[in-house]
Amino acid sequence: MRYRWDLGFVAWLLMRVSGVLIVLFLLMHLFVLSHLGLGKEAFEGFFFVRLADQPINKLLELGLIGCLIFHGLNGIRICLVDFAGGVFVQKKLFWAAMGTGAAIFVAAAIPILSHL
Amino acid sequence: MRADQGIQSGGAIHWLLQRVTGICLVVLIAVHTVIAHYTVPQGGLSYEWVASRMAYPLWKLFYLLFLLLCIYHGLNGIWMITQDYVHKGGWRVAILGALLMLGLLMASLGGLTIIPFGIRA
Repeated sequence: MRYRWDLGFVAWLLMRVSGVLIVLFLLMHLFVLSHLGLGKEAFEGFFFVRLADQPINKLLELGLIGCLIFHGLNGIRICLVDFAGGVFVQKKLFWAAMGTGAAIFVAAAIPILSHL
Repeated sequence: MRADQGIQSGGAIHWLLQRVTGICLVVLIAVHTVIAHYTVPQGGLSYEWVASRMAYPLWKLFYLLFLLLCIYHGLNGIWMITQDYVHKGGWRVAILGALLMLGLLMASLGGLTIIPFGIRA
């Protein structure tokens, strides 16, 4: 089998990759936050919480919001394609989603990076 | 595989629910990220600030709903991906079992964090 690298395929592939990455993040997020119940001192001293405070994680955080924005907006595109006749304009919808996503990403990146 | 097997296997309802939960999650995740990361008080994100929000039953309900939708949508997505590559019945059952166990673990971990948190703080 050969894959055709057209826009629809790339969108489909990125949807899967971003989805798997978000699930991996969710597992880490739940694991770390499950230590909240230990109380303030124990939580803030917890190895993974101190790791999360490292400046390098701002970059990972940008990667996370990038995945979330792509996955969410492309998900809306999929719903429009499946339920609202969007199949005939699926490529235009993709670029509309990416344009909206880029604007949200910049708006979200500014406060993240300014807290470095 | 026959063309009519998709609906008989019960896959169609999960295909539809993936879209319904997805739309709900777009709204929930927007609220969660804006509240949890962009409306933080002076001095940055703190344990007390999170605890004070989590003391409200409505926030607990919000996060329990968010948690359950995330688990269903995320693990259903993984399940749909694996179905494209794993075709043997036995392996599919094993994967389904593993995902159900993981979902139960995530629901317990998250639920046991959300429900009591904020009361003791």
